[in-house]
Amino acid sequence: MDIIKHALRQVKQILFFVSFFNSFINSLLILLLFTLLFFFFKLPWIYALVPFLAFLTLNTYRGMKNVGYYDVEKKVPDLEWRLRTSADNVDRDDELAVDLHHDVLERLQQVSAAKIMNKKQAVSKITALFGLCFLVVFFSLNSIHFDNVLPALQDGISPVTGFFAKAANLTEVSFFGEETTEDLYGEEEQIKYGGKEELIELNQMLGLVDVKNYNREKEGKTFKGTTAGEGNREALGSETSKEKINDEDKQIVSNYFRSINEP
Amino acid sequence: MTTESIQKAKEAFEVIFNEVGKVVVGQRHVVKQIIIAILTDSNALLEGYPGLAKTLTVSTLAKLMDLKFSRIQGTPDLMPSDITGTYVLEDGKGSREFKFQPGPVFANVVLMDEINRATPKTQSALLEAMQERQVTVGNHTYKLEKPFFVLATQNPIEQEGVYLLPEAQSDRFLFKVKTDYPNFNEEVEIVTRYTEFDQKMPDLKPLLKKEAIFKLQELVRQIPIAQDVRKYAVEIVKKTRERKELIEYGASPRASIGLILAAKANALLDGRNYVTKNDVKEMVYPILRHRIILNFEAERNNFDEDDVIGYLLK
Repeated sequence: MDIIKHALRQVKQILFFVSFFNSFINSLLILLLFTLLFFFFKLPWIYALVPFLAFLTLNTYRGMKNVGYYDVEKKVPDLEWRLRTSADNVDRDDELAVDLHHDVLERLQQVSAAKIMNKKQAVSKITALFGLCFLVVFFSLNSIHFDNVLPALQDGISPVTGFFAKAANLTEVSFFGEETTEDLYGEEEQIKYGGKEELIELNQMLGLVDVKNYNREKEGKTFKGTTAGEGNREALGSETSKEKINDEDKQIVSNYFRSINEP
Repeated sequence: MTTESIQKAKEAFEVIFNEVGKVVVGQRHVVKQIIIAILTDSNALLEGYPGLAKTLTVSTLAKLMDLKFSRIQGTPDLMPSDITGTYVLEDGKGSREFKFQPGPVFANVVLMDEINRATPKTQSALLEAMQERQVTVGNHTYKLEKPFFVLATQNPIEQEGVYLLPEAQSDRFLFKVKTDYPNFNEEVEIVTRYTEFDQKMPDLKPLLKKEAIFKLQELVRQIPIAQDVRKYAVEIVKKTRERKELIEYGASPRASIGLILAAKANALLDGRNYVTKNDVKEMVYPILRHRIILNFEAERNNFDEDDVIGYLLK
């Protein structure tokens, strides 16, 4: 009976499609997971294509090999045992077999890819895909790697600038083209404190300085910047505290930054 | 043969079950298995304690199916010619001649009561009839009328002075049907029916003709079966040969053939035109229990054949 052969072929095609779709989604999950891992460990993300392709090939092959009418019968109980019996006796044209084929053809109208697919699983996998995509983007935008995760976690998240504010380059180009840090913070202590920390790193002798006993007025700060391409820069503490803005405006700005620095 | 035929067959057998139920209380599984043996053109062994309506069940079924019924009582002095028939000297017109007198085996349904009490020689005469569907007496061979079924009974007690059926012979029976005691309500019903003063045996009329039985036998073989189910049946039988921890000797391929046929007949009785694994599971116990020989380990643990079969199915 040609019509049943044709119908069974279509069912097989649907099964292959569903199997390939599942394999592809699983492989994409693998791809994103490995991309995330490789990025985290500062490895070229392009290598994540290797496990992706390997998994896609193997899983597709295994899925296609194991595909069977049982998968349809599970979702369409009316077809239980009928479908595979009809498929195994497709060449028979006696009345009993033909009756069974007609029976199966009627019930096959209920079969579609959407019915066979495990919707819950598909939705959760796609959600996981989106989640991983987000993580990949988040990690790359914030340059999160294995060597800067712990310090950042210790310092905590800065509400002003983001996750890795302290570890990033502190110099910013201001709106007026001058390089200054005061536009970022607006707090004299933070500028001095940051400068002091960097000074300690640069000069081993000054590591003996007790930061708690820091006296802002007494200390003459000599800051030698080490950012690449900028050369040495000297900034005297007294110079950095000079402001040409009137007191009222200073107060407004100061209050603003104080309020946003508050936890 | 269409699905309609299957539905009609199912309805006919429901009526047969109800009619048998008018005479025999309960024992539906026994009736079902005997009907399956008939539909698969095979023979069955009935084992049960005395007084469990084994003979009554078989004779009632034979009446309902319009089949000629005969009964042979197995005794140690039973001779093969008592079963097959013999030549007797008859006075003809002016001469005497030997005429063949057919034995009780020349019937459609032969009930051999207590086959294990007959001698091996007598048992083999019956078994030849079962296998070949013919009887050889002297130089002549006489074909047996179709359909032909042998239902042999065995008493599980009184094992002294009996001749146990050899395994090679018991293999020829499709089923070993176990009859059991009725439950409390069934026994109350039995007592009510058979102890009242106005007891009347129901008048049973034939429901199936021989031609219908032949068609049903053909229908059983035509029922389509999936390759999965076939492999499942063969797998179970193969396990009986491989699981040496409990089974000394397993079942032969005859068991696989019987299991598939019985599963098909079970599907027919259920009104289906396809076979499922449950059909196989339902038939596996009566098919295998007389074909496996348990080893000492099983006996030591007090396992019987049904326990071992249940273990194989897991």
